[in-house]
Amino acid sequence: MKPNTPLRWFTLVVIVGAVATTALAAPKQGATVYSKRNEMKLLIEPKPLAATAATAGFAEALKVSEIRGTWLNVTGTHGSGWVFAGLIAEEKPNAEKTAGVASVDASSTTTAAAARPLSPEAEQYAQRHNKADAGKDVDWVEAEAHKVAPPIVNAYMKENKKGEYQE
Amino acid sequence: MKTRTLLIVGLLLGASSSAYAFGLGDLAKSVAERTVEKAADPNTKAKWDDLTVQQEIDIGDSVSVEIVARYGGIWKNTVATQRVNLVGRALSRYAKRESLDWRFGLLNSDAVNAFSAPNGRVFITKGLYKLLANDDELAGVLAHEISHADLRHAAAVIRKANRSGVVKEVGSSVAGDVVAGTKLADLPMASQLVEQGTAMLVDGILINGYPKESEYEADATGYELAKSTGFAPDGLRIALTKVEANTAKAKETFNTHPSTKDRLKKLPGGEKKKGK
Repeated sequence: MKPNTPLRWFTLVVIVGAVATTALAAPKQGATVYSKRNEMKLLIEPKPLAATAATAGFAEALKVSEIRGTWLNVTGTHGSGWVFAGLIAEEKPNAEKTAGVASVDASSTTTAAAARPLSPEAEQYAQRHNKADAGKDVDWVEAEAHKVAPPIVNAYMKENKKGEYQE
Repeated sequence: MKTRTLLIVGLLLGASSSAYAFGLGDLAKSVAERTVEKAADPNTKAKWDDLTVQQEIDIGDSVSVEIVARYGGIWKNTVATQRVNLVGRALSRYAKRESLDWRFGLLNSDAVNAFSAPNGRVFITKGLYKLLANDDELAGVLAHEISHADLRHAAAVIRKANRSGVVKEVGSSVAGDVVAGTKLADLPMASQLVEQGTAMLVDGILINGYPKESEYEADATGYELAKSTGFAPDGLRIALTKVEANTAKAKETFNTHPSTKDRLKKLPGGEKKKGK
């Protein structure tokens, strides 16, 4: 729909290249990475069920001292320990804008959150647009998704060797 | 600026026509009709540029209603729904925005497409779901959609529309401005925000699709998310290849995304596959 000028293509290539480079660059020893979670556990060994050696706050800077497969040994303000690479970011994450929300604590996993039906505003929206049935369908998905409780997700990940459970 | 505005109006009117062609409701029309370029109100611009999580939830839920309404309702298959939630939640555990309520549903449509609302509700069509042979391919698709929400692409759509003057500032509607039979001005401010935000996203996601740059960014980020979670990194590539092969058959195949051939070319990890 827009003219494909050389500048547009150049911009596109630069963006895609930068994203791909950022996304694929694995952290190296000595690099600084950031915690994606609040009270993120740093473990005494690179295993998902290992004891906690220290914790790191959301967006806390962590220095990488060792890498073993998908696990990193990092040092933060409160100590050192092992963390799964999926829980850290190479760029400092931004805090959510939480005004008006009861709790969006990054430490609480969403999988543990209570079932959340459509917000009252969205309910009203559905009513105004005669789409109440679609609203009920969204709530059906919510109820079904809520049945997939955190232990079920953990069991799936363990059985299929996903996330921290990779070998 | 005038040319740009005319172009946007033209695009919206075009989108409106195609919306009707696909049986898409009155919302796109209302956006086009409400297109007015107004002097920017710094306070309101700050509001659109700085949505809170609750506002994102309100708009995201309303966008979800639109997605479900326009794609045949929800496919109420509990086994398949559980599976997409297992795979999706394994992925979203490592998303940047883990605090979103990540939920995954299946649309009762034979079209081949997938969508994500800005608040972490992700939908894929039954048509696409049935093309995917295993969890790796499903993860590739879901990781792409998770990445759209993770990277706040919807917020970027809203900001762009606002900067373009495509929509009125919240609270500045006139008496004749009607949404779904209700005067916009009569609605509380929060509802006005939902109406306008949802209209922008229906236009930006469901009708025109995200900008190509956002799609490629979601491909690259989703690739890394799937890979780091332990799914085969070529899941999206295989899924897209299947989609490409089925393009002739499918009535609506990823018609809100860039061409599948272009996506395959730009997807990370492609070079390694050439020898296979």
